[in-house]
Amino acid sequence: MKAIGIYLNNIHKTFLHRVKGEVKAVNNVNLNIEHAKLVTLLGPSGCGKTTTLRMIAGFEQPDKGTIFLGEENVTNLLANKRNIGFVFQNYALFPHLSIYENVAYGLKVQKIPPQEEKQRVNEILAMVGLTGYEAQFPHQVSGGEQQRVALARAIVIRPKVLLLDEPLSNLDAKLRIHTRSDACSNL
Amino acid sequence: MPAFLYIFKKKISTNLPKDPAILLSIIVIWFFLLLFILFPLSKIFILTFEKSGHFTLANILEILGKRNHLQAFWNSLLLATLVGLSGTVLGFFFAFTSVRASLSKGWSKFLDSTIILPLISPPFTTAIAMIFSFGRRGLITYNLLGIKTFNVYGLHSVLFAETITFFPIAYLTLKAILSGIDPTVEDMAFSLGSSRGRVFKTITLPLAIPGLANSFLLLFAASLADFATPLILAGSRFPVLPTEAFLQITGLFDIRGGAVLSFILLVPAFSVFVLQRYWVSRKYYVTITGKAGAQTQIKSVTSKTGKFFLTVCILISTLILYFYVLLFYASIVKAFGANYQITLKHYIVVFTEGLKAIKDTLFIATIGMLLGGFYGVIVGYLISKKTFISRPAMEIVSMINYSLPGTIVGIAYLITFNNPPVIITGTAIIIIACYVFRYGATGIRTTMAILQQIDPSIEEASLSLGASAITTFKRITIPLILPGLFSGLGIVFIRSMTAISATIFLISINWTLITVRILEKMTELELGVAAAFSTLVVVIVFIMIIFINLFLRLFRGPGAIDMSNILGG
Amino acid sequence: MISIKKSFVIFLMTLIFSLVLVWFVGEISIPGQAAEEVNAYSIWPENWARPMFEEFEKATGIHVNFIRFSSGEALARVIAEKSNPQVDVLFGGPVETHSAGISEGVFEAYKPPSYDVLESRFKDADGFWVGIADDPLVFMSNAGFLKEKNLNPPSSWNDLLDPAYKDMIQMADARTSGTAVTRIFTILEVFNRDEDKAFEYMKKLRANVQVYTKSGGGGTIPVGLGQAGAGIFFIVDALKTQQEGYDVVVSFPKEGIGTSTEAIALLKGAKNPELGKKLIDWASSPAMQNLFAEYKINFIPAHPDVEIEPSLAAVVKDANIFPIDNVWAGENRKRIVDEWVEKVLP
Repeated sequence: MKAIGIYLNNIHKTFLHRVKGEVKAVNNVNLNIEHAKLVTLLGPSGCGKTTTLRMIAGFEQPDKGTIFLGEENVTNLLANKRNIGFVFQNYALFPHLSIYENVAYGLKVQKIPPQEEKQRVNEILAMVGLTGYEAQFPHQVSGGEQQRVALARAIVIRPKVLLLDEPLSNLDAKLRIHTRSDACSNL
Repeated sequence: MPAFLYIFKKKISTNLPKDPAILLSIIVIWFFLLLFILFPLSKIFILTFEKSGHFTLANILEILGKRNHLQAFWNSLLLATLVGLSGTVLGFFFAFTSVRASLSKGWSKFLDSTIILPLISPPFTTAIAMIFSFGRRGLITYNLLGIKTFNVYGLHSVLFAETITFFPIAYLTLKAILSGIDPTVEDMAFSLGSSRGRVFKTITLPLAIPGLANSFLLLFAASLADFATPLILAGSRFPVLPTEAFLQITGLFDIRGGAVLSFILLVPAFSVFVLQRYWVSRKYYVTITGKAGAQTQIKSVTSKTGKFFLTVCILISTLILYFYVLLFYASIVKAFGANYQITLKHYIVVFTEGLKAIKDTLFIATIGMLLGGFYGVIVGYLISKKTFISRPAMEIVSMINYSLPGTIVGIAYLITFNNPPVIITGTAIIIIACYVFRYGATGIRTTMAILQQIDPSIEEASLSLGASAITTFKRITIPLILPGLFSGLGIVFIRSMTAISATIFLISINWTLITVRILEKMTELELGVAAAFSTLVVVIVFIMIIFINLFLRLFRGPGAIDMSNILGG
Repeated sequence: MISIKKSFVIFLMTLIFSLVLVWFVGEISIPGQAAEEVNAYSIWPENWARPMFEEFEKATGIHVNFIRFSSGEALARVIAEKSNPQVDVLFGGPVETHSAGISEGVFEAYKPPSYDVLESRFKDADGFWVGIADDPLVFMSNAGFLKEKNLNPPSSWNDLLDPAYKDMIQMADARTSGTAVTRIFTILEVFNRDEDKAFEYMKKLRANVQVYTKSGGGGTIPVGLGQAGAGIFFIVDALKTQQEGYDVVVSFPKEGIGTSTEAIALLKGAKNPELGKKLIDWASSPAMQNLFAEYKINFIPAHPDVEIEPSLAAVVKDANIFPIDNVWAGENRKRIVDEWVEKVLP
C-alpha cells in the first residue's frame, strides 16, 4: 500500500478554554508531507500536536484552511470516509469485544470475507507479538499489550495514512524500538 | 443586514450534524416532543390564562379565591417540605448505616431488598396498610394498643406514609454519594487525629451536602405530585393540590378549574426542577463511579454505634415488611376487620373480572417499556454526544413531563387529545404516549450518565476504522449502554405498572389499568380485592426486576459499565 | 460467556413471547365477543351492574362493555367526551347527575316503551332520561356504638348534632358522590329551601364528621365495623351492609328524608344508538326490575308493575320519604356544591 501525501493549507483552529477564554490551538499551519514514510510532530505539551492530528483524521473541523490527502480535498469529509488509521493516546479499545474482535473490527466494516479476515488478523497479531491473545479482553491484558492491540487494529485495515497520538509512551525502550521498526517495515 | 443573516446561516450550518441519519433522528424526536409534551402543556396554559379570547388572570384568582384551594396550595408545600426533610434524614441514616457501618453481606442484602418495596408498589399500598393498622378498628391502634380515638386521617398520616414510601429514593441517592466519597479522604482525617464525630461533621457531611440537597428536592417533588396517598389518608380537613385538581374535574366537572389547579402545582414543581438542574448538579464534588458499597475498611463508627444503627434500620425495614405482609393477609381473608376466614375468592375475582385489566396493563406496560427504553437511549445519546442547534432545549423539554406531577400531564392529555387535530382518547396510544414521554426521561438521564463514563475516543476509534455513525451506534455504543438500557426499561415498566395520577384521566372503556381498578375497589370498599390486585402488581414487578438483574449480571463482564442502582429517583 | 448481542436477543424474545402468551391467555379466557356490543358508564357499583348486564346479554345477546364511575366522575367524563362520546349509555345514578347533564347538552332524548306508564317523577318531561329505580336515603348506625353511647337510633336530623357523635359520622363528599348531592338537597328541602339555615345546619353537622368519603357507600363498612358510629346512605348501600352480617340499624328522621330516582340516559352522538336504546328499553321495564329481589339489590323499582320486595317494603313503611325536585336540583347543582365546598368542607 503506497503512502500518499498529506497537505495542510492555512489551518486555523480555536478553542474556548474554561479559564483562558479563546485559545488559538493551531495558528495558520502549513504542512506538506510527501513521499515520506514516517513523520514525527515534536513539541511541548499543549502546543497543538494532537489537535492537528485530529483534524487530519477528521475528528475536528478546522476553522479556516483546507486539508488534502493526496489529490483529494478532505476538509469536509466525514472521519469514517478518509481511510485513516488512528492510534489513540488512551488506546480506545472496545471494552466489550475480545482482542480478536477489536482488531477485526475495521475489516468487518469493510465486509472482508471471513477467511481473509482471519488470515490478516492472525498476521497482524503475530507482527505485534500477541499471538495467542485472541480470546482475551482489553481489561485482562497489560497497558503495553493494549497499546499493541490498538496499533494492530489501525494497521490491519491498510490505511492510506496512519496517525499515532503518543503511541509509544507506554512501552519500555526495547519494545519501543522493536515496535517502531516493525510499524515502519509494514507501511 | 445581510451580514447578520450570513452569520446566522453559518451558525446553523456549522451546528447542523453532517450525518443525515442523525439529522433525521433529531427532526423526528422534535416532532414527538412537540406533539406529546409542549402541545398538551400549552393547552393548560391557554386554559389557565385565557377567557373569552384574551389573556387574563381572572381564572387563577377565581380558583385561589376559594378557601379550600388556597389551603390546598399551602398544605401541599408544607407537606412536601416535611416529607423532604424527614425522608432525607431517614434515607441518610439508612445510607450511612449501609455504607459505613461495616454490615455483613446478609444484612446489607436484607436492607436493600426491603427498601426497594415501597418504590415498586402500586399506589395506595401504604395507605391501605395504614388504615388497616391505625384506623379506628386498626390492628395496631385498636387490637394491640386499645386506643379508640385515634384519627388516622390527616397530615400526620400522610406525612408518615409518604416518608416511608419515598425515603428509599433518598437512600439510593445518598448511598451512591457516600460510597463515592474517596475513603482515603476520611482515612486521612482520621490519621490526623480527628475523632470519628469530627470526621463525620467536617469531612463526610460537607461532601454529602449536594446529595442531601438533591434528595430533598427529589422527595419534595415526589410528595408534591403524590395524588394517591392523600386521596385515602388526608381526610377532608387536609386538602392538597393534586387531589383537588382531580376532584375539581371528576367531581365538579370543571375542567378549566382542574387545569388552573394543576398549573398552580406546576409552579413549585418547576422551581424544583430548575433548582436541581442549575444549582445542585453543579455542586457535586465527588464522581459517582464504581460499585456501591465499596469495600471501605474505615472504622467510621464504633461497632457499638454500628449495631445500634443497624437495629434501627432493621426495625424500620420490618415495619415496611409488615405493611406488605398485612396487605397480603388482607387479600386472603374474607373481610379484614370482621371475618378472618381464609379464602381465595378475592384472587378469583382478580383473575376473572380483573383479567382484562391485567391483560391491558401488561400489554401497555411492555410496549411502553420497549418504546420508552429506546426513546431514552436515542435521546440520551443525541444530547450527550452530538452538538446541534436546539440541543439544550431538547434536553430540557424531554425532562418536562417527567418533572411534572402526573395530574398535570393527565389533565393536559385529556383536554388536548379529545378534540381535533389529534384525537386519541380512548385508545392505548394515549396511555402509552403518556408513559413513554414521562418515564422515558429516566432512561435519558441514565444513558447520559453512562455515556459520560464512556470515553469519546472509543467512538472516534470506530469511525476511524471506517464505520458509519449508525454502525458505531449499533456495534459500539449500544452494547456499552445496554446496562443502562435495561435499567431504563425496567424503570418504565415498573412506573407503568404502578402509575395512577396521570392515567386515571386517560382510561376508557377499551383500556383499563390495574391501578385504577385498585382505586375502584377501594372506593367500593372491596378492600380484599384491592389488596389482591396490589399483591399481584408487587409480584409482577418483582419478577421483572429479578429478570433484569439476571441479564445485567449475565454480561456485566468485559468492560460493561457498572450500574449502582436500578432506580435513579 | 454469552455475547452481549445474543443475550439481548434472548431477552427481547422472552419478552415478546411472554407478551404473546399473556395476550393469548387473555383472549381465550375473556368471554368471546358477542355479536353486538354496547358501551356504558355505570354509576351503579360493579356488583350490581354486572349481574344486570349479564342478564341483559342473556335476554338479548347484546354484550355490555362498561366502566364504573361515581356520579360526579361519570358526568365529568361524559361532558369532556362530548365531541367524541366513548359510550352509548349512562346507566344508573341519582338523577341530579342526569339533570345537570341535560344543560350541557350531552344527552339525546329517547322515550322507551314504558315511558307512558311511569310516574312523572320517574321520567324527564322531554325524554332525556327515564327512571329505573327509586332510592331513598336512610340513617344507618352501628348497633354496638349506639349501645355504648346509650343512644336510640337517630330519628331526627338534630339527633346527629349530638356531641356523642363527634368524629363518628361518615358521609359522602359532594364533589364526587351523588349520594351527597341528594343528601344536601334533602337538607335544603327540610329547611324549606332556606339556604342560610340549611348551610348553618350542615356546618354544625360537619363538626361530627370523621371523613367525607369519595363514594356514596364509602362509609358503610366503617360504620359496619364500628370505625364510625353513623352515616347517611342510600338504602341500597345500607341494606347491603346489613345483609352482609354487619350489626347496623336503619332509621329515618321524622322531618323527612329525600329519595332520588336512579336514571338512565342515551348519549348524544353515541356510536351504537340502537343498541343503547335496547338497553334503555330493558332497564326501564319489569324485565330488569323484577330481578332486583332475586339479586338482593335493594332498589325500589320505578316501574309500577313491579312489586316491592316484602322485607324492603317493611323497612320503608311509615318512613317520611319525599322526592327531590330533580329540575331544581339539576339547575342549582353546581352552585350548591360549590357553596358546600366553600362553606362546609373546610
